[in-house]
Amino acid sequence: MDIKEIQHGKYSTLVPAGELDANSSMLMDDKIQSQIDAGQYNLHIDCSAMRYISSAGLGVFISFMEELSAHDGKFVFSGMSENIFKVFQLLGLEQLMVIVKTNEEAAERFNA
Amino acid sequence: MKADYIAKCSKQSLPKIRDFVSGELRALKVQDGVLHQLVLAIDEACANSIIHHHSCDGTSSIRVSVSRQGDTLVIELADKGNAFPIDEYEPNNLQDIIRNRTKGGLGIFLINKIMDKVEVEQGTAEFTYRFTKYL
Repeated sequence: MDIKEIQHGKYSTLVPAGELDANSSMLMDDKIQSQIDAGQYNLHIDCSAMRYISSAGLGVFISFMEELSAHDGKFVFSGMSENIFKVFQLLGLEQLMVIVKTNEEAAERFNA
Repeated sequence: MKADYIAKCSKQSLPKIRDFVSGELRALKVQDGVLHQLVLAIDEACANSIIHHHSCDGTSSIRVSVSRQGDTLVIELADKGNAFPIDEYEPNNLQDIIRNRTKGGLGIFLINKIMDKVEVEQGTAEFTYRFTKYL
């Protein structure tokens, strides 16, 4: 798994490429923690290059949700494949997290 | 016809197990959406065994097998020692997981959501998790 980071000012984008599983989830954990340490609580996760997610990957996002929210921040996910969206649905996470189709829609969620 | 795969107990084995299971499911004509969820369920079970049961000890191994009879698909995970009762385990409520900021507790929840039947067969020195999906 490779995770690209893009800073936009109001928010940062993380672009995980590959499979986010028990083996790679610590890398995502570290990237999110680095953003928080730098004071960035608005995080856009561009899932367009993510082929797979397991509970370990989902658990990373869940574990940071309240901390982002406590600082008026949030996750916004975009570009999810149907299979990955279904995994979010299995846990009811689509009700708790902001999931949009495109990166432009994600940007609107932070700029609004 | 039952296909077997023996994997070392390291996290690096997980992508290989997923490749094996998805290859077998494809050969058994399982549709893509169902296939993806079945791969997820067995990945969760294997990750639990490798990380929690074997503490990622690469000298030990687990065995995964896939078979189909008509509309009944069975995926098995065979391991040594005593089984964790995943068929009886009641996972934490999702809200509790969020509130407590824990990273675990979701895997068995997903397995039970995806599979139609989850069974544990305990032998004297080894055990088998049997996951059944009616297609």
